[in-house]
Amino acid sequence: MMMSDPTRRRELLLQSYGLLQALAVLAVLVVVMSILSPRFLSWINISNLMGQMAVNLIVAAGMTIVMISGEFDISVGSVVALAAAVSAALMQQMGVVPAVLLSLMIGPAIGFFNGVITTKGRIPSFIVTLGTLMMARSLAFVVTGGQVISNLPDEFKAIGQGRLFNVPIPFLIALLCFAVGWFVLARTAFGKRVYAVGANRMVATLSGIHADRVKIQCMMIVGFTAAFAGNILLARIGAIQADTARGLEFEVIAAVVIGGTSLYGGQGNILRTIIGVIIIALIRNFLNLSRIDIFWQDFATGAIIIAAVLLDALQKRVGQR
Amino acid sequence: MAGEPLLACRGIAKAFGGVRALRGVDFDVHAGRVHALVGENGAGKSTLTKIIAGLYPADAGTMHLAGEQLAVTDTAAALARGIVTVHQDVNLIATQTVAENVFLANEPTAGPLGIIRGGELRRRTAELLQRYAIACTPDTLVAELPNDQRKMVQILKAISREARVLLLDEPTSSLTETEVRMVLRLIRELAGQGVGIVFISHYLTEVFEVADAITVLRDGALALTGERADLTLPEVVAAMIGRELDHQHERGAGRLIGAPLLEVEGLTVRGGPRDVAFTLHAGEILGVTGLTGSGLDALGKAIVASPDTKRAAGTLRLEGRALEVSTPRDALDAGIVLLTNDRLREGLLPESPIWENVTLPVLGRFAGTGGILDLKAMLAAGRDAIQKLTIRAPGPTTPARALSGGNQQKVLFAKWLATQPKVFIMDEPTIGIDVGSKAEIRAIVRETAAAGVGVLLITAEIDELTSLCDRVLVMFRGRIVADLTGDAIERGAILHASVSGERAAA
Repeated sequence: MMMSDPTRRRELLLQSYGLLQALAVLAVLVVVMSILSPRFLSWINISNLMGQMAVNLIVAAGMTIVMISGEFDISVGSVVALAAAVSAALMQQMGVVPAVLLSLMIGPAIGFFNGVITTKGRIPSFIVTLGTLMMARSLAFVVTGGQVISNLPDEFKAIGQGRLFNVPIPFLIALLCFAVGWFVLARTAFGKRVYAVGANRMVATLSGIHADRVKIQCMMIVGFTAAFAGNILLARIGAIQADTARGLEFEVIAAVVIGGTSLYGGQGNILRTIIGVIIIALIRNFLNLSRIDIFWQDFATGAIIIAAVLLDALQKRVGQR
Repeated sequence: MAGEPLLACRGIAKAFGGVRALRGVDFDVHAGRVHALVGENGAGKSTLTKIIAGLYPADAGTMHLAGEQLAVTDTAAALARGIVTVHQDVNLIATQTVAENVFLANEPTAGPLGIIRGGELRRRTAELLQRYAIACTPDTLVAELPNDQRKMVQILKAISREARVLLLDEPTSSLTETEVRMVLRLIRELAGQGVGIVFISHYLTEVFEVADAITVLRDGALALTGERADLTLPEVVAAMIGRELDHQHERGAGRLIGAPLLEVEGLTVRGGPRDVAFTLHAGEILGVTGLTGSGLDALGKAIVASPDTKRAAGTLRLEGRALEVSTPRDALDAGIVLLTNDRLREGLLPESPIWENVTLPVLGRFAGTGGILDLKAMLAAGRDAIQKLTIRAPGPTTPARALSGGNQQKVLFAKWLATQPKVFIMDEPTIGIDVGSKAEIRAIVRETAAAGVGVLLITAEIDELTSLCDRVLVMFRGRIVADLTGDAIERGAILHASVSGERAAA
């Protein structure tokens, strides 16, 4: 057995290089923002940010898994809204627990539909989930009747608005999601299958892995995280209207990509997705604090997505030489 | 012999990085005649035709077209002089019509805007179709054509460029027997119109049917050339393989061949094996070989139900019991594994470390409650594989991509051996690896069989068959045409069956 392992060391270095780079971008952002806006580093601002980030974080955990498996889900924003709307509507009739449980089931159900159509119909998941994006959004309008639903029980809102050690509970829940996601990806047979299917479907299938089944399971997972995030959002805001979380899907996919997950599947680290979400949230926060016209926000986010993906592609090309 | 040659090549030589692909070859093409160019893989056929087509320059030698010195510098120059190649793959646009394909990038146009004259396009295509009696219309979509008509459209496309010399690279390789007849008839008609034709083919029976003259290349040199009428098929085969001695066999050394293990019957794949049947015994190395287009490449995949190879018919029996295999998982559960011939695209995950690669098919074995993996045991399995198969790698965490071809192939062997297979199908197990690794891989193949595994060795390398196999099946256009054992497993017999589709008269 050989003790020295130079190739492995180089690999580790390369991996941590990507991580260091993401952290460096984050650090630069923090420094620049704290200089430009003195309020930025205040605990009020930071804990607010944590609360706002929670929904994106939870969905991003699921999105990382589905993207490693080589698929996308752009219906998540609509599923967040639909689950929140159903939960809110049912809560007033049947109480908190049944309402939450029923609304949580919407996510995996839509995910199952997305997965089956994608794999059995051999249609790109991007297109299939574009369809469910519209369908779920429409259902959210049906459920709310176009009205804002509020008047939720206090014990439910306590989850979304409470704090533990002065940290918003939704943020802590989101971190828990990442812990579970990391464990599943790194330490379970299912996780290894997700990577294998995303890296090379043929190799995986010939190795006895039911690739379609794995992909369907991944789409059910991301659906679940979306429905779960919908409930967290509902508890945090205390009210829901049908066009909540529009465009969330692209912000989340951007965060996953900024976190280094391959757009083509097979590669990625779920913990780095957290950094991606934080970077996007910070930029939005910065634009808010510096009173730049709100209409420019999406422009900035879009530009950053392109820059991140481009940087990633250029680095890979250099690395291959 | 017909007078002045249309194309005269003299002393053509070409080397690629020290390997002499052509060593001064003379080759003539006469107007109105079909000149067949044959030889084993790597004999220099494709190098010669690529030089004629202007794909790369010759290191030495001259070419004359109709008496004029031919200085072909690129393919466009060759095309301009009427030297047109029809490639082996059908490179037509399936979603466009026959007429659009025939005149692609060569359309009759009107005016400065280059507006296509659709009427003339169709009329000229119809003329061509009629002249060569091809039963389709100019407006038929290529996607709707059978294989032979696609090939003929591809040839028409070449003709429409006013070809004087037509280079046909394996024009019949993906066709069925009846389709072959149609294409050969078209080739004769073209020759009748005065086109000089170079016919490159592995199928010697077809060569004897269509050619006026035959040239055999071996190791980059001229081995035989003459009028077809003066040559026989055995003479041509002998010229292809030369007089080199057969390798010493080590077949069956110390191995006991056991009971029937895998029985395959009526195995059929569209465009691949047709009604193939054989029985593989425990401890046996059963070789299967054939040319490109013989259906060889689809055989292993069809048995394990690879998603890209649909079985049209066929039954499997394992140890006497009927076996239903509809996914690779079913095959794996039954103990049948396939080592693919494309390790980087279908075998390994190049970015993943060795330990992950070798445990991929047996993840369940390392998973405890809730599917939680025992990573330590998996790493140990990786270390074990490195030691057992002497994989030269720094450690089990090295990604497969960082290894040499031979060592990657050993990782692939380790991956499948880890599943403890009963039947091990190996598709070209020594493809693209160095000579030293080849010997090691062959030793692994022998050890595997010695341990009682039934080995189905699918290979185009004749050396591999003669040095490893207890029995050899030869496929030709999807069917098994020869079943060789003992001393019959010999280079000449294998090659004869591969190129002619018939057993050599012993």
